[in-house]
Amino acid sequence: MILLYLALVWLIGCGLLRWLFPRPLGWSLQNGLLLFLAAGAGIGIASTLYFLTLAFVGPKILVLAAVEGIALVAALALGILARKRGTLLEWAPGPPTPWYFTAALGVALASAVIMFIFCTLTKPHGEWDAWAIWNMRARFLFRGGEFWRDAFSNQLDWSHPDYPLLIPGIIALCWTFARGESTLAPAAVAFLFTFGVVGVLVSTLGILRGKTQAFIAGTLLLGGVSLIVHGANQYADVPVSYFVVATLGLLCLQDRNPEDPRFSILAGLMAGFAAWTKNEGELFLVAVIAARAWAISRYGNPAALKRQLLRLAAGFAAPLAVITFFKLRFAPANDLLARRPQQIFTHLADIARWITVLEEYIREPFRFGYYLVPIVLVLGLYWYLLRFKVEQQDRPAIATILVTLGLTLAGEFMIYVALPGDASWQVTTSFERLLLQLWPSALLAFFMAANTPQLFREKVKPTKKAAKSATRAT
Amino acid sequence: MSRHRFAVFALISIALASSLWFLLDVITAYSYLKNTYAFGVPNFDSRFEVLHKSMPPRSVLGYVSDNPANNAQSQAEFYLTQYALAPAIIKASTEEHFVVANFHTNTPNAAMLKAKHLMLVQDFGNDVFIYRNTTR
Repeated sequence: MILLYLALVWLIGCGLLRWLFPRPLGWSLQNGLLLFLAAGAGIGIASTLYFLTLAFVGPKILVLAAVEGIALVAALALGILARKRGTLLEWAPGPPTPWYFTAALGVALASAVIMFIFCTLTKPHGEWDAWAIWNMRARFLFRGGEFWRDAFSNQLDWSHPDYPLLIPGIIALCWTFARGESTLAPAAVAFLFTFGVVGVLVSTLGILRGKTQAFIAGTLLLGGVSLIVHGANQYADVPVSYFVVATLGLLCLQDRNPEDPRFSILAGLMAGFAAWTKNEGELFLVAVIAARAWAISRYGNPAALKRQLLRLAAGFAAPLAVITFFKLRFAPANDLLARRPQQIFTHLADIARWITVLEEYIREPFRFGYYLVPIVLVLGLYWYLLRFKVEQQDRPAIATILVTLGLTLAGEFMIYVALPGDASWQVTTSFERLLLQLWPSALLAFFMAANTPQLFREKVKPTKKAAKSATRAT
Repeated sequence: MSRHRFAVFALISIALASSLWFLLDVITAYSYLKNTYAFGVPNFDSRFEVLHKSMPPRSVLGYVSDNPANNAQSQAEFYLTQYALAPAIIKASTEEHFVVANFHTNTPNAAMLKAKHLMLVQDFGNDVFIYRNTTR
C-alpha cells in the first residue's frame, strides 16, 4: 500500500508538470524528464500539505485524505486538460552515440540498483542521520497523535528539531494512510530521489548537449559510490542534491528557451523544496538567486533580469511561506543562531578553525565518491584531452551553476568556522555529504562546457576534381 | 580522435570499475551481517517493543545504562532508545519520576541503582526495565 500512496504522490507531480509542459503521452525525452521531476515536485507538494493539515486541523486522517485527494484530482485535471502546445524538448543533435555508451550506462545503473538494494537490506532504517533525525521525526509525527508537536521539543536538540519536514512529512504521510509503520516508505522515497538525481542529470544534458554527453555524465554519476550508498542510507543530502540539480538544470533550459517563463517558475519551486528538505537548502536558495542575478547581468540580457527573478520568486514563494511558518511557529532556534554573537565572533577569530576547515576543503575532493582514482584528477585529464567550448547562449546558465556552487561552498565554509563545537569533527563527518549535494550540478556544468568527444573519423566526400584526377590516374 | 577515445574510455572504465568494486564490498558486508549478531536499529526496536506498546503517547522518561559514560557506543544507544520509544521523550538523566533502563544484563548493578535512588517498577525483558526515582 505504501508504494501505491507514493505512486499517487508522484501522480500529483506528473499532473502539475504535464500542465506546465504538455506533450502527447508516450516515450520521449521530455516526458522522461517530466517523470523524474514529478517525483520531487509531488513529494514536495504532498509533504507541505501534510504539514499544513497537521498545523491547522490536527492529525485527522479524513481531512488529510481529502486535502491530498483534492490536490491529486486538481493536478490530474490540469494535466489532462492542458493545451497541447508549449516548448518541445528533444535530444540535442550530435554524432551517433555508440552502443557501448548505452551499455555502460546500463551496467552502471544495474550495479547501482543492486548496491542500493543490498545497502537497504543491510540497514533498513538507514544510517545514523536517517534514524536519528528524519525517521525519528516521522515517528513523532505519525505516532504522536495530538502531541505531534513534541517532534520539535527542545529536549531533542541533538537531533536538529529545527530541520524542515519534506522527508519526515512524506514518510509520516505514507504511514498515516497505510495505518502502520514500514521501512519501505523511507527506502522507497530514498530510491526515488537517488535515481531521480541521475534521471534529471541525464535528461537535462540530453536536451542541452545530446545523448553522448548525457550518457557519459550519467555513467560517471552512477559510478560514484557516495550517491548510491548515502541515498540508500536515507541521508537527506541526496534529496537536496536532487532539488539542486533540478533547479539549476531548469535554469539552463530556461536560457535555451527564453520565451517560455515556465522553466524559471518550476526552478523556483524546486529551489523552494530544497529549502524545505534541509537547512542547507535555504543557503542554496539565497545562493541561486544571487548567482542568477549576477549571471544574467553579466552574460545574459539585463533587461530580462527583473522578469526572471520574479518568475523564480513565483515558484519558491509557496514553499518559502511554509518554511517561514514552520520556523516561526514550531521549530526551536537553530543551533548556530541560538549562540550569542560573542561566541560566533570568538570562533571566527580562531585561525586554527579556518585552517582545519580549509584542509578538509582541499583534501575531500580527492577522496570524494570512492572512485578508484581521485575523480578530480580524472576530470582534469578529461578536460585536458577534450577542452571546454562554451556557446554564448549557455554562458548565463553555466555562470549560474558555478556561482551558485561557489557561494554555497563559501557559505558552508563560514558556517563550519562559526559553528559551536569541534570544527574538525563537524567538517570531517559532513563535508563529503555537502559535496554530494552539489556534485550532480557540478557534473552538469562540466559536461555542458566540455566538447563532445569525436569518436569516429569524419567521412570526407570526394570533390568532383579529386574524383576526375583519381579516374585519370587509373 | 584517439585523445578523445582515450579520455572517454578512461572515464567510463574508472566509473564502472569503482561501482562494481564497491558492489562486491556491499554484498560481502550484507552476507556477513546477515549471519552475525548485528548491532543496530532493528535490534533496538524489537528490544523496546513491549515497553513502547505499554506507554501512553506523551511520556517523559529518564535514562540509565550500564555503558561507560562518554563513550560513542553509549551515546548511540541513548539515541537508539529515543528512536525506539518515540514519541516518548527520553532525557539523558535519572532525575525523572520514571527512568528507562537499557542494560546488557538481566541482573543490573544493585549498588549503582541504589546510589541513583532507582527502584524497579517493571522488567520488560531483553534487559529493558522501568525504574522509579524515589526522590522525584
